[in-house]
Amino acid sequence: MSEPKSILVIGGGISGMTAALEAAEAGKSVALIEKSPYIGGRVARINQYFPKFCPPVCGMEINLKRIKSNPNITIYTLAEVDSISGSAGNYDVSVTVNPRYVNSKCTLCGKCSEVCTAEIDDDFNLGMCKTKAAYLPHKMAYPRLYVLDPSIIGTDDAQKCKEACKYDAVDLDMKPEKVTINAAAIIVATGWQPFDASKVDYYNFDKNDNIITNVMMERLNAEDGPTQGKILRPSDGKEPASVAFVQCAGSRDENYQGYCSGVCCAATIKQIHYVREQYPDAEITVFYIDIRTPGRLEDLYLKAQEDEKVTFQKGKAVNIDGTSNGNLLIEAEDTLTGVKSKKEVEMVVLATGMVPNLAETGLPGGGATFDKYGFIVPDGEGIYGAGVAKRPVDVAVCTKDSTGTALKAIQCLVRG
Amino acid sequence: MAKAKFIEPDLDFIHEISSAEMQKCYQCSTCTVVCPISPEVNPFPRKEMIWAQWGLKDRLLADPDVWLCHNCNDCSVNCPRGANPGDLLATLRNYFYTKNAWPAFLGKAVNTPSMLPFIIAIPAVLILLLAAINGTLTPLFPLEDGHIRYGAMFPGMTLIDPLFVSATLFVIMSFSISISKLWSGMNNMTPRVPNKGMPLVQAIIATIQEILTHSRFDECGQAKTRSSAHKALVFSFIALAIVTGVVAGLEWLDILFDINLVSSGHHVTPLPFLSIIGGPLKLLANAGALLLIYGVYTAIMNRKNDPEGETFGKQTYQDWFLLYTILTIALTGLGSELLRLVNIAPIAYSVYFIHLIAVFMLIAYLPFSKFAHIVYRTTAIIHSKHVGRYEMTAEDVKGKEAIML
Repeated sequence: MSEPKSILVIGGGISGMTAALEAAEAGKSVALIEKSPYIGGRVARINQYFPKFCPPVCGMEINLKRIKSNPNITIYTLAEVDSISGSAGNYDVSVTVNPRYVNSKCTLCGKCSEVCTAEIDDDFNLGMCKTKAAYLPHKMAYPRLYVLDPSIIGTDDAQKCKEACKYDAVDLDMKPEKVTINAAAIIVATGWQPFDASKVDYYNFDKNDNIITNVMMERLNAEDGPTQGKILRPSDGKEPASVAFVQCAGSRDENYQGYCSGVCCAATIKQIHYVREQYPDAEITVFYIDIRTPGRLEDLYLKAQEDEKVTFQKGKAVNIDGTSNGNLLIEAEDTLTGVKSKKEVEMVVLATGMVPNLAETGLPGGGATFDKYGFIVPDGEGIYGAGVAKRPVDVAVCTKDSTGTALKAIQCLVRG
Repeated sequence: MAKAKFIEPDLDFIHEISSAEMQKCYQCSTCTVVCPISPEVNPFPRKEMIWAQWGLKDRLLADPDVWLCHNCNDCSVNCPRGANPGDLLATLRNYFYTKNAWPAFLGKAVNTPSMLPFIIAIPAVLILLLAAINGTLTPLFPLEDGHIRYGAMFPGMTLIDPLFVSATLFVIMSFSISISKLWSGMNNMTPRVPNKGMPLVQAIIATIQEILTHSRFDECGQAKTRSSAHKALVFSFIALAIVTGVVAGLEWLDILFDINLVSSGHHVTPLPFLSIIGGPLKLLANAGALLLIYGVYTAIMNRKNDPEGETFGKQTYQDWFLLYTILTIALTGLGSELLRLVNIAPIAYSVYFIHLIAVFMLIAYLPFSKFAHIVYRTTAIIHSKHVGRYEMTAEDVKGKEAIML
């Protein structure tokens, strides 16, 4: 093998990007593969970080700049691992790179999108709105290239896109490609997906548009989101006069998700700020079992408790039913007074937790150990979990964890 | 500052009722909300979970909610921790039967599997002793005109009636002790809300209506099949109680006043089928028996098909003791009738003997078996209607100290 062995990073979210950068900046050759058409993952869809309420865009921009200027990193988007063979120090990883149908001549002029008539669910906005089937996934998407959704290939729409592109960037003949990457170590930074709240019958999540999840709330408050940053309830676009947050929606519950994701409490307090900034008079109720805001995050909680528009009610919200005017009745027992009652609000946010992406599939070709929830157990050499693939943590911990994981991978590479 | 409150945990009690599951409860209160029959103020079973963890025996033994629960198990199925609140309430009810009924030694005997032979032997010996005193053991398995008549070996007036009347008096005495204790405890725990509760008589009538229609039981989510089996059992017991009562009355009429309303013969039973009173009674008795078999079979199969107790809750000795006692009564009752007709004396009399033992066990051990729920639960439902438990709102407890802690 003439090429120097590399480190393979699976997953292009904040953890994967961090691990790839740290290894590359230490002079190692890194291959970063990402299954979606852009890197940035879940963090790209977050509106603000807690506890400072700053936008992730800044940090993301710096990371993208580092990646662009680093020749040691090769990025494969729309790519997925088929199989892994070999052992620590010498893995052969077979990867399928799916066609983007747009080549590097793309100038982001947007003509293809203009002429395309077909629309698809906007995955970046969690399906809360539609996007054209020829699209740039989001404003900051990197690689800076449009994508054609496979569903329009072979249709007139695809042909129109091709004809509209005067730079010859639309290539409808692209086929899936097989790539084999020889890697000394593999960093699995496959991240998470939001818990599917429709699994919990008593929330009636899929029956009421005005029940949303915390990740949807991020998009509702984002300028490039489905409502251009206005928090409006989905059914009728009304500005909500009251919002309820339901903590531990599916979390800490052995029937659904047996663990605490550790970030939802702080995320809810952050989202209370979103609501309070837009609607200073809105009544906010938080239904909780325990508020978990460890360390410095406790200050966030104390501050929210001082807010007279915010009520923290101890006792899990269970039954949520819609009313004829689109409002919602939330039933819970206030465990401090011992009274069970129904509270009517105009919008409900379910604080759903993080489900590791590999929970159901595992790692193709094996080689990693998972706990009963699907998080990678750190054991053995050669394949290392990083970020939320390993345990549910916030962004700051992910970046620190990924830096440490990069060091483990470099050690594995050096040992050979 | 609020007045300090002293919690006095009963550590032995915790040991007696605790389970590893129960200790997992983290007071999220999913259970009280998913329960379809839990009231608005001080709902169950969350508070019972923490009282049990803390060993607050006095509260739990005065808590009407332990009996308002119909064990539908919705709470356990939805519990995020697998803490099984439904099993705790069933355990507490079993505690009433085992430890809280007078006299205590019978509570222990009836609820200890290894003592089953002893508690079967009590009625067996009593019946044989009474038969010996009556002089009806010789000849064994008597035939009259070539036919079996159970009264010939086990006479009604001098054996069955004294035995069961004294058993009933004993049961009434036992319950009068435990129910008066429970009633005053419940009054203390859940005082009457002015203008919301019903007068006592009205509460009793409404409770009987609720029991006959199973209106509350039918609200349970997990327990649809349990409710229908229970309905069958309730109505079969009513039918069989009517038959037993009328037949006893007819016999006493015959013996005391020599008026036999059913036959021209010397005895009331076996009831002649072709008589105005005997025919309908016989029909009712057989219909009751069949309904009893259906009900108890369904109840047994519900449990058998759920060995881990995931749908119907953890299985206990108390459940099986009651179910198999009822099954024995049903099968030996119908068996006695059929064997009498085929006229095989030794087997028929033996089966009838077992029938009498099982009926005695159901009646005389009522305060100590799960069957006691008919008294405890009825009392608790009457109390809940009398104090207005289900009509209470947050307004009624505003400003008052929560009873939760």
